[in-house]
Amino acid sequence: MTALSISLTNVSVRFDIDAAADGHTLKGFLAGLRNRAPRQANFVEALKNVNLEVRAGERVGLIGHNGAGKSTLLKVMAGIYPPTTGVAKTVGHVCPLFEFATGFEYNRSGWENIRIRAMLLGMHPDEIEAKLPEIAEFSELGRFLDYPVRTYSTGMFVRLAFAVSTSVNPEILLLDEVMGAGDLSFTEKANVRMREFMDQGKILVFSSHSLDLLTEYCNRTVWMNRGRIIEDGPTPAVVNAYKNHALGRSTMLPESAAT
Amino acid sequence: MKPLAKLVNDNIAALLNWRVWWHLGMADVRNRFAKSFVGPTWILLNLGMWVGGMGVIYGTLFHQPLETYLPFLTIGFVCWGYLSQTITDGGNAFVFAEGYIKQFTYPKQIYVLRVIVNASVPFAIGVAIFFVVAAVLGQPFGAGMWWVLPGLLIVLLASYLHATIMAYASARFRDLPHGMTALLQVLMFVTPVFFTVGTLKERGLDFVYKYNPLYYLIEVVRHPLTKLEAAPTEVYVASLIYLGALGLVALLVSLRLDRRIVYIL
Repeated sequence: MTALSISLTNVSVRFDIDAAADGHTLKGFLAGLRNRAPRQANFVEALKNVNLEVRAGERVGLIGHNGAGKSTLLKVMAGIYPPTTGVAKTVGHVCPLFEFATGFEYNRSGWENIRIRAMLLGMHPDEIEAKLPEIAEFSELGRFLDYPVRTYSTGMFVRLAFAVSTSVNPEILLLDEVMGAGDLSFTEKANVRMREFMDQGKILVFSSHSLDLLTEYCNRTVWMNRGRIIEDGPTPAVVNAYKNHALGRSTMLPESAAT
Repeated sequence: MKPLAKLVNDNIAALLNWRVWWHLGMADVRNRFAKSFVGPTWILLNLGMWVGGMGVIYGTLFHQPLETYLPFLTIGFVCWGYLSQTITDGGNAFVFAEGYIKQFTYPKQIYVLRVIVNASVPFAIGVAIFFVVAAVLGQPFGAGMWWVLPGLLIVLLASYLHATIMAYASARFRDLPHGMTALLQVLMFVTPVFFTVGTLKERGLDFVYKYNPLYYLIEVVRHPLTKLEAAPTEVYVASLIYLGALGLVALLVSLRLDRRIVYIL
């Protein structure tokens, strides 16, 4: 087996606002003819020259303000966002768990959605049928699984998505802000499962605003701000620095963040 | 990885993951008729109404004997439905799969193949209905009908390429599906679906079908089934030239947009 790894070299990601802009309509075009405002370069640099190596067995946490680039970074690792420049290489079967309320077929039952998700995560249909009871039990959704998922609450989506994603035996699990949405008992169960998963020596990268969770799970933490990595090191040190910064006790921001 | 190599890899990987797109596509078919009392029988009823209504009126209007005109209309209409559904649904393939594309790492082409599966079910039912209509009206059957198989392959390939182009281009230009829907509505009445080529020739309107690639795509299926022989050589030549051109356009469009799709959705 080749060693699992995630390796990002000088990765930048740029979102063009122009292509998706709301003003890009016939109405907007005609309005633009009248007041000829100079067109500005419309893009957001979500990641700027990110370099990161993650090796087998590492559990990496991501912290940073909203919009710091955490989700984008996870999606680059998953291979969903191709970098605008730079090289992203991920070796291993990735199981992403993002944006938990999308990627569902709203008019279909919980069962059917489990099947579809598991399939999209690379499970064989026989394997899915074999694991269905286990997934259902873990999700604790009970008879709700017979109902169309449009009737689900956010927490229920998370239960379903988490139950499926972690049943896949992923080699690399990428989690984005999902643990917060489950209720207390589910969070407990999810914790147990995460621990089991990590004991298998695979890669986990997860973003969270819960510093307790990060401290518990991650031996390494990456602090991001405005698309750059500010600090990358052992969790306690990085979490402390972030805390100090966030609470305003330290006015000294590492230099790279000021740009 | 080079963009071209990635594209080839993605297409192959998508095809090999047939379980995924088959499942998604079949689920779409079931979903379309969910909670409907009549269910998939609507495919039958829809076709029956068209052929029954249009067939009798147009057949009389164009002075066509109904026993040959009705099978002709049935298979033409079924082919047309397949071509137009894969074009319009293709335009939504990536847009509707946004939630999946932004969350899972499968090659995007499975969402194009899902559209093809979804459209192929009514198509297959329609072809079966053609045989029923032909048999009921006492039309002859013969070995020449086997020529329909290469025809179906051509139509399938063309539809995959149509849907691929539409899926990529529509994600970037959201006006495209609307434009194509409007265009296809007009084309349906211009393409020889309801009338025969003979009717056009009599009135000196040859150009209507001669420069219409969709006519050739219909003809490779319709001719063997209604005339019990291979379609004329020029029909196959025109179809293959069109397939080649489509392939080239599909390649260029996907090369240009493949990396950007996830960002512009």
